[in-house]
Amino acid sequence: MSAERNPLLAELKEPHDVLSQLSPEESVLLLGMLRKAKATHQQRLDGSVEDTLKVLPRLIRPAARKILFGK
Amino acid sequence: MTDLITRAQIALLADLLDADPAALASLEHLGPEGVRALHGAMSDALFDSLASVFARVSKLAPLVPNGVVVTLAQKAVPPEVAGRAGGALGLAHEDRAVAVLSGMKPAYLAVAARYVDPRVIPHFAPKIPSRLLIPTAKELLRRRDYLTASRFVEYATRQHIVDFEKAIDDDEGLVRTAALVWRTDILNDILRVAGPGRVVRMATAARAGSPEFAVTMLSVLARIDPELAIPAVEELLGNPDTDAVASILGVAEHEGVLVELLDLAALLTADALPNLAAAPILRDASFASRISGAADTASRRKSWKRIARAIAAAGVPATAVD
Repeated sequence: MSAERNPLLAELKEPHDVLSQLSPEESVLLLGMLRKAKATHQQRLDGSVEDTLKVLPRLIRPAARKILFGK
Repeated sequence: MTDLITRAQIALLADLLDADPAALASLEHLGPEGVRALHGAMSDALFDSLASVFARVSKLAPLVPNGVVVTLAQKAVPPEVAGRAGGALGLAHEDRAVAVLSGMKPAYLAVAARYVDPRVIPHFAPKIPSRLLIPTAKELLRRRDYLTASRFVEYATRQHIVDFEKAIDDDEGLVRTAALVWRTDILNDILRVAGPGRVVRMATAARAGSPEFAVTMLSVLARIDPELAIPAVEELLGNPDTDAVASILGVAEHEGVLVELLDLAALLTADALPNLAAAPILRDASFASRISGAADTASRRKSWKRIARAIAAAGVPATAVD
């Protein structure tokens, strides 16, 4: 099945036998959800890292920032 | 009860993707194994995409003592994010994991647990002491988050089960969690360790509980080994309170589990069978014909014939038996 008809299979490759049973609509829907979830989870994680930095004891904040962001 | 398990796997996938389970309902055609495999692949892809951030956060560990981690996490990190990050951080700092978890509130852990990377549960669940798990387990049951509870129970040790059995009174919560345990061999092990007395107690509670509770109990009994199920099946289907038996039969029909009911009825001893046969609902020829119609295999037809013979022996006319 082409990547166009089954984009989730094209993205994940495995498990081939399961992914190849998805309808084109299901595959598109799931890939959209996966991409959105990746972005949302990344955003929430980054936000929490920032929030944690703000409440870290002042003394270790610069060292923590350097570890996290290299600056 | 494949449907119950498939729906549970779809609910897990929906949770992972922050989606509405109804939007994924069509995936039922993949069957429980298919949906579980799909969830595994998507979950791995999601967690792997966050691995570099987890690795950076993990490097902060030497700077921050356990007490500070506990305070800061609960203050600044939503439990959902903590759950997602907790697996990778716990694996990287395994020596500190129990100490950090010990300091956190059960309500926080119960929410976080729902979002943990499934790959780390088999690694950590057996290592966490019962004293730490029990308050969180109680909180999960209080929230009726049976699905999350089932994901952890699956990797519980024998000692965990012994301790949970003593500490957790919520029979409905335990049954509904057990029903969602993926592997039948593990479900059997758990209930064997919990003991036949507790399984009967669960059945007694199910008999007095909601139709949903009763049907979930039936689904658990249909999955476990007969010798473990029999005392509880007698409590539900071979009970001298024949009105209560009738009510279970009615629920089984309404919830579409007459097939499982026939399997369980086959386990009744000769002493208990007349109580099932005396259930007033079986005198209703149309109900009897529906249960007879549900007998789709040789063993289920045999089970129905045995019931019908018991009905006939009691002198009550039943639907035709072929």
